[in-house]
Amino acid sequence: MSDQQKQDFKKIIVVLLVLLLLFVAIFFLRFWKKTPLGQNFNPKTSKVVPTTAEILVGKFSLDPVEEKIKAGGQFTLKIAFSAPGKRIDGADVILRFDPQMLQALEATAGTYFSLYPRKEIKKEGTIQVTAFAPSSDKILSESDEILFLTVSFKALKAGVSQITFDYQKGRTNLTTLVESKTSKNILGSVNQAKIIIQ
Amino acid sequence: MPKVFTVKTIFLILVALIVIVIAGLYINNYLQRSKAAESKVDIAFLPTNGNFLVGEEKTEDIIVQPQETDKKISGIDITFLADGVIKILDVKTPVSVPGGDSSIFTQVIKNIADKKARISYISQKPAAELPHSVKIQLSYKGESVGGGKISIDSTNTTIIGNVTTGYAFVLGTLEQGAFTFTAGITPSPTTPGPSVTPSPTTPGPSVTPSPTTPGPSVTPSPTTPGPSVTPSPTKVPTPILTNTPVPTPPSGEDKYLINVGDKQSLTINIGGAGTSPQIRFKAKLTATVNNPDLYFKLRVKDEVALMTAGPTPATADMCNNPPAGVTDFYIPVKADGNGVYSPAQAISLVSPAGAKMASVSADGWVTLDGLMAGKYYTLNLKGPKTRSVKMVQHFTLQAGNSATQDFDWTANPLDPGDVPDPNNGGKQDCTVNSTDWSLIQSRIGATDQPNLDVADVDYNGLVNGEDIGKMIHTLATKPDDD
Repeated sequence: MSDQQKQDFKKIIVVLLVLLLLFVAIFFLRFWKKTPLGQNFNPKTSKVVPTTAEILVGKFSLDPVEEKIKAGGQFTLKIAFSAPGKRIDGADVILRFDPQMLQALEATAGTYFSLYPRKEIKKEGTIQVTAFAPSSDKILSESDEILFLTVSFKALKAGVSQITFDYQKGRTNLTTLVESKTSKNILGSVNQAKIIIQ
Repeated sequence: MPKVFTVKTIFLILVALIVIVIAGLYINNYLQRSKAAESKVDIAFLPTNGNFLVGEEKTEDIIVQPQETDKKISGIDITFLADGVIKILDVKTPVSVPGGDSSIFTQVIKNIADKKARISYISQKPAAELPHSVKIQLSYKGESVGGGKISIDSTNTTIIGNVTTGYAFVLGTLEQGAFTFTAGITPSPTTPGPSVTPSPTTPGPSVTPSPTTPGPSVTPSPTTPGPSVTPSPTKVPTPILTNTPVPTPPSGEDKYLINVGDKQSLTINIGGAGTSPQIRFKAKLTATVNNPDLYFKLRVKDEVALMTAGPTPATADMCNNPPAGVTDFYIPVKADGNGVYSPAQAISLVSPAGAKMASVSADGWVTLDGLMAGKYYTLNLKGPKTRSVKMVQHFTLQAGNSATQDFDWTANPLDPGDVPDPNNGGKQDCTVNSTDWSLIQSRIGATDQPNLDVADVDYNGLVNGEDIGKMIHTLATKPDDD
């Protein structure tokens, strides 16, 4: 390649670089302008939209999941939650059970939340609890399982009965686990307990 | 200067720059237009359903409203379609909402046919005077017993934004109206012919019913043999007579002619024309500092219909989607100096999108359009950040503005706590729980309007501990859900 050709090649490279720079600038301006449009309603909403799977990491679980007991006997059910990587503002639990088979005797609050303004046992077979104001603002880890409530039950008559959460994904007026700052219900899964009364 | 940057090189770079800038402007303009086109407009129907009498002329309010609050409307080209038994009668000039200014738009096209109507209007007002929301009134009637829908022909509908930016909105949520029509007194002119109806008491070809009493009050002749009467459990009965000749004696005016052997039906509404019940009320919010104009939601439950309706699916969001037998009315309300709210004809707030708005008279009577008088109802009232309160139960609503329907509910104030959730389109969920606490807690210190609209439950202009305290008080003292 001659010197003249080398110089021409350099010129072409310079022009192409300038071109590339301008295109990058144009597209940057385009997307920089667009961002505010989508966030005019709730300025506190994160700009990053996580996937549903990422959001709904919360889990409520009953322990034990199966209990064998004689009619007239009593047992204790623990209700706990986990939400790895999240801070939790509050939670609501609605538990359903068959009042013909089981009698809820007492519901005892856990210690993670400082306020339990609603803690009701209803005779039609519902336990409804709301709690918020966490005593710690720490991000929960994979191993954190927070005790939310303990309920003591009495078995009334022989048979098989279930204790279940009233839960639908995304619904905020049933069982929930509310993330700090976003106020979103991040509860993604629940389990249920089977009570075998002999 | 290095050798590579000769005059020739610099000239080439400048030419390239000019080309690139022109291309960039073109591209950016194209992209900018695409961005504008992302703006959506919703078209809501008020009401979205109803049960009316055949022949009764009804008016549907159609609200056109961009989803983004800063967007305005400068032009409308809408095609409405009707099906079933519905006949479109007229479409009025679009007006601004609020304000009802009909001088904003100039008519370009107006074609009204029975099943299709197209209107096209433009505005030449400056951008600042263009409306954000527009109301179009469409009048229609049911031509016979049955059902029908009024909908938007989306392929032939265009809503134009601010003309200076020159773009069309993308159509967002398009509601439609589904209506049923039951037999009423339809004074359709007689069809000349040999059709005559024998009177039950006078065998022979006598022509009987007279439309000279166009009002719905008709007294069946006692000689009518066994009309099938569907009783209503009401103090003001609304019996429906079916399968019987109409027994009113002729009165010399236009006459109905009914074929021998034909089945006819007759609805009798005792109480006169315009039989929708009306109510008026006074109500208060608990512990507010200020009392701005608001929309209250009145949920009216038809107790008999609820009892006879099938089970509602467990997954249904009954808070925002009233089940069969339940109707939600959004009522504009204003407060007096004592914080007592009453229905108002117009307020300074834009109505909630997609809501069924109740019409309010100048003296504050709210027409519960679509409800049948003489049935048992439960009335629940709810504010935009409050729990619902059952105000009246097992109450027989009468037609018109009966004095018994002028309520004072101030002794039963609406408690704060169920705040609108921006994560759910600003809807309430009919419970006070940890979500509400979090929504308020995360806005502590806020004074901007979007956050105040969510969490300032006492309307003092600041989201603070007072709001949290009031919400917790509601939860602790009245924990039951709506």
